[in-house]
Amino acid sequence: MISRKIVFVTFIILIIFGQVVFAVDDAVTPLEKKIDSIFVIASSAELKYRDMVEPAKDSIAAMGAEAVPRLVELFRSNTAREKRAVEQILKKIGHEAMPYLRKSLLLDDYRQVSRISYTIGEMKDSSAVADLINTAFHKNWQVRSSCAGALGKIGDKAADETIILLLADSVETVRQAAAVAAGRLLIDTAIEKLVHMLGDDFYGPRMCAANALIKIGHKSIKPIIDSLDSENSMVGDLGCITLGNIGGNLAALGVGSQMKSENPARRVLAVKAVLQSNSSLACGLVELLKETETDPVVLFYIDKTLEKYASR
Amino acid sequence: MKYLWILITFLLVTVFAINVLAQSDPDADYEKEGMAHLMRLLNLKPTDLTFREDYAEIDSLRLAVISDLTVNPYRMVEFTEQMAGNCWDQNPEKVINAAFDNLRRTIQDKRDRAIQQDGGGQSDNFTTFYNSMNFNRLLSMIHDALYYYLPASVDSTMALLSQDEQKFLVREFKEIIFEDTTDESRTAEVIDSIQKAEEGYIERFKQFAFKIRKDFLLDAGRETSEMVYREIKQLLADIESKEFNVKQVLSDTITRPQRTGLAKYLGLRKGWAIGGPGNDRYRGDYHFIIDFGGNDFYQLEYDPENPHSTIIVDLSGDDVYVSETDFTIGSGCFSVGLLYDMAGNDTYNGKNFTCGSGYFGFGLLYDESGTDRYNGDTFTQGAATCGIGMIYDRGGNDVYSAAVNAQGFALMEGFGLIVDQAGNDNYIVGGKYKAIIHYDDHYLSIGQGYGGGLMQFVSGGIGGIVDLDGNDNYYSDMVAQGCGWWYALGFIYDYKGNDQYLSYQYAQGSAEHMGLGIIIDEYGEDFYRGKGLMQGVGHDYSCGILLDRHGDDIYQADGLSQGAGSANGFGILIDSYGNDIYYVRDTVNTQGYGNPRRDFGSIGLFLDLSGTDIYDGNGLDNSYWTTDSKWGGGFDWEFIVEPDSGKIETEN
Repeated sequence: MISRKIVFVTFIILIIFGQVVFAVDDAVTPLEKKIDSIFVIASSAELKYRDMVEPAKDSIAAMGAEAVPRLVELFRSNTAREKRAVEQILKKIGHEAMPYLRKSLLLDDYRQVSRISYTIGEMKDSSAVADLINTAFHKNWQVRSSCAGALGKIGDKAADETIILLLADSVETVRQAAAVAAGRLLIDTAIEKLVHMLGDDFYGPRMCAANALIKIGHKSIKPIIDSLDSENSMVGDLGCITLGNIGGNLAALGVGSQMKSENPARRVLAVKAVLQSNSSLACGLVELLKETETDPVVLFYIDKTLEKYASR
Repeated sequence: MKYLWILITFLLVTVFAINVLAQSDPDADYEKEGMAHLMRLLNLKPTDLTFREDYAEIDSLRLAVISDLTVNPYRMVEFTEQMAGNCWDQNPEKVINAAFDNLRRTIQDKRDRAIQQDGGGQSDNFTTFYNSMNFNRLLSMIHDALYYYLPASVDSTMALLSQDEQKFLVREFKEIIFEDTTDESRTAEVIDSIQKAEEGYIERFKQFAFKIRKDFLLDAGRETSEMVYREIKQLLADIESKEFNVKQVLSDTITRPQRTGLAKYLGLRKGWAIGGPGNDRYRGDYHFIIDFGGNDFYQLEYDPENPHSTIIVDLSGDDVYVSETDFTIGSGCFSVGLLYDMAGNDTYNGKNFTCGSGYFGFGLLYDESGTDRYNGDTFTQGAATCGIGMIYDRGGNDVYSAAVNAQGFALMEGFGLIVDQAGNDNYIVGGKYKAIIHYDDHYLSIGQGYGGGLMQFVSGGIGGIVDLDGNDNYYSDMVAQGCGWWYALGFIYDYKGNDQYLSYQYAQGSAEHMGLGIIIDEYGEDFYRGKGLMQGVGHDYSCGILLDRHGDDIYQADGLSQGAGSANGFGILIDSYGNDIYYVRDTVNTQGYGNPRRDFGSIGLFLDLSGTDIYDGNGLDNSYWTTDSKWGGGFDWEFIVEPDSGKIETEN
């Protein structure tokens, strides 16, 4: 406690004696200059100032809504560390910051709009849902991606339709953010699109679609099983693992047909799915496979699986 | 009918030839197959290893090769092998050409070429002093290059820049390259204001950087370096065959009339020196020196405000080269700087921007043989920004020592390279400038195959070390050893020898913030040691690869290492042959680990493709494993069926 006081006093002394200079050049008003001077410490990464960083952030946050316009300006910084500091301060300010942040979603600079969307998502403030939906089809992909992420984090079902549309975005990063949001919002109507995304060309959307389906749970099982023999092998591969992660008897039995695949990698994934499913129902199929299997990696997983369920 | 048979034969021969040419390195095939195999088990595929080019604004200085490698980062392996393939000759021509070729901007359709001029008329204005025709021909060619061809190419390079802009590059802008020991005691606000000032410099640079047409200068540099190399080789052959008798040539001169200025005579003008076989001492700002022997002492100066190209040739002896100012010892700054030392155990004591450095210029330090010592501070030993900086050392047990930003170091539009063809070498960088952001007791290295950009502003260049033989030691602290940062590439290629790679963090095939970094070590029983963010690590949309092909190797690290992807990066460690030992202190984020970030993940791949291996960590011999991460795993299997012959392929 004493050391915190010392740190704070040192910090105040620095400010009083003008040792702290401005973080950016274009601060004009005394308030902006004050914020900038404290922000130098709030965004410092140096070891020797680490104990002063949080008090400095608190100090700016204590200014409340008044500080928000300047903080939004500071989002234009080229330094990731500074942008992170702005986010953290805005989170500390909380709901009071929202009116200006919502208004700022209309700014021209996409970097600012993207960071603001992201921050609103972190703040999980539902008052901005309509504004985010309006911004979600921005021409810049970074903004679309941030909006999808934010809508997912806020968790308001009003965003379902927007998220489903973003699942088909031309940019993989946006599709991936939308898949995450679909999982967070548990959008049942997105299951078909998410299953299709298991075969996405880019691993981000593919893996996030799988996670979304796992979150949605049992409703996803049948559509996934129906797609295991898709021409796009990634759909079947990832489908097996997704079923394993959803777990249960239906999922375990659902991958059974894949143990007959000619491709050993697919057989590995099918056995691995049984291993993960926590269902011993498909063990018979695994034992059957063992009789004919020659691939060492498949055998490796067969043994692991049979060992796991041996006691059941 | 006869023609039909000829046609068929021709087609068959062509198809055969194409097949032979198309046969790729079988090791590389195994590695690719192994990767595909492991990735499929992780529900990934090799084409997942790709990044977008536009995570940040694409600036006008981004190199085409960096764009390509960003989209296909695993191609770093091929790129590095190809670069190394250019380094086996006596003549550095091939690798210089390769460096030039790889400095094409993404937005550039065709390269500018220096205009070949008939400079004969220039030298004709001189009176010959020496009577040897051969020697006069050499001097005449050097003269034309120094005062006609090279200045014209510099003028073309800088033609679109104002005087103020040119002065800015020489004065303020170079400050961004320096570190300062007093930073340790500076307050946060002072450091912040310095940082902001530097950002201001970078912003200003960005506004006019696209007007710098470096190709003219670099093309002229490579042409001149080739010409000088060829002439030196001929001269040495002539000396060897007694066709050129040094003592006789240097003493056989005309009788100079009284009151005639020296500048009128070819070889005697200001800034020129011609040294005989004895021990000589040179001090000053020279344009041209040729020294025929002896243990010589050079104290070299250069004024970047009055730039000029420099050529120094020393044919033999144990020589000492000392920088009295920056921009010396085979360095170019708005110029071409060439230094050829053809024999002897030499010492190069450089300051900043020295020993094969190109700062808006072309610098080459060629050392033919001997046990050499290279010392320097900042931006030294194969360092380049908007240019080419290179050391080409052909033999001997050498020691390279520098403080920071050195040893195969490149910033924007730069290609910095050390090629060391033989000998047991020591590379040491660091120990002077503290890494104050991260630690109280560790130092910045930023070298040994480092390519960096100016983060959030300008894409970077390509920095590398190619060491073809010998048991080598690479010592560094923070940020080094095949490390890339911000749309740039850093690489090390070490062909043969039992090598040691020691570093603390951000090293050994490591890349950060849209960077690319790789080490390829072909043969030898190698040892890798460090704390973290190393041994095949990519952090923040970056890709780091450590590929060790042959030998029984030892890998040690603490955390976030050995095939680890962080913040949507890719980290890959591949060991193809040998009985290896892997140790990690922290099993949470090592040996095939992908860190979850930005609501998705990263990719970490660990592959040991043959041998009996020992693990202290997640891995296990003859096994496949996944880590609790998004997404990563490892694979130790007898994937390569043929035993390692251990035979080293020699290319020469």
